[in-house]
Amino acid sequence: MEPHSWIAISSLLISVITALFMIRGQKQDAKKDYAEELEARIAELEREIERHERRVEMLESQVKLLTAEKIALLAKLAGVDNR
Amino acid sequence: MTFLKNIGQWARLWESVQIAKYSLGKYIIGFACLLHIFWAAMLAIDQRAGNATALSIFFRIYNNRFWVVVWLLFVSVCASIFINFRARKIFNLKALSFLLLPQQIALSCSAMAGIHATIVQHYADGVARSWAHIGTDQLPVILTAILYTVACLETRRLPFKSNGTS
Repeated sequence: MEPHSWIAISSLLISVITALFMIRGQKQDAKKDYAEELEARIAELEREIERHERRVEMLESQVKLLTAEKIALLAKLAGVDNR
Repeated sequence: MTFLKNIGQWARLWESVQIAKYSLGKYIIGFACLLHIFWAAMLAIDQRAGNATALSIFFRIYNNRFWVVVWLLFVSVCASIFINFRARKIFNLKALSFLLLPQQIALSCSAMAGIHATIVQHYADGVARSWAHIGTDQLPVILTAILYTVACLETRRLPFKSNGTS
């Protein structure tokens, strides 16, 4: 084989190998991007859960207050009825 | 074992080193584009430029000055289009990196021709010199080809958020 033939063939081979490495790297990067995206979404959901939990706590304390108020009012009503 | 450990540390250091705010890959690609444009221009002006070892390989393959000039301009234009698209962030596809490969083939051919000339101890035009002389002379083209390959591999990482297509 002439020297220029193997030079051309080996150059093509180097480029093919480079292209394969580029594709592999792109796939890895795509996976990394997807993982980062998922992590960001998870963090966002966790923040949302915390926010809802705080709201639930607030509502529960409101329910307690209202229940106490109701009990007090019922007691008052019972007192009025006894008279 | 300690030696290998040191090499590993140096490799990690090299990977993380950033000597400037902006990446250097674009300069390597730009340099290769200019190199091919100047080679094409010199070849278009005077056919004797084709006797140079780096260009002789293309003459052997195409056997025609016109097609060598076209090929050199084609590879540099492809790489320039890639830089242009990346710079303007249009078509931010990772697959655009493949526009760099024709230029890599051209540089690899020139580098291989340089290595061949070093081994057989004569330039493509037949001038005989020692392997050290030819090796020293051809080293810039060989190193450019290596650096260009590294730049190609680096371009697989987009500098900005991908639009999801690749």
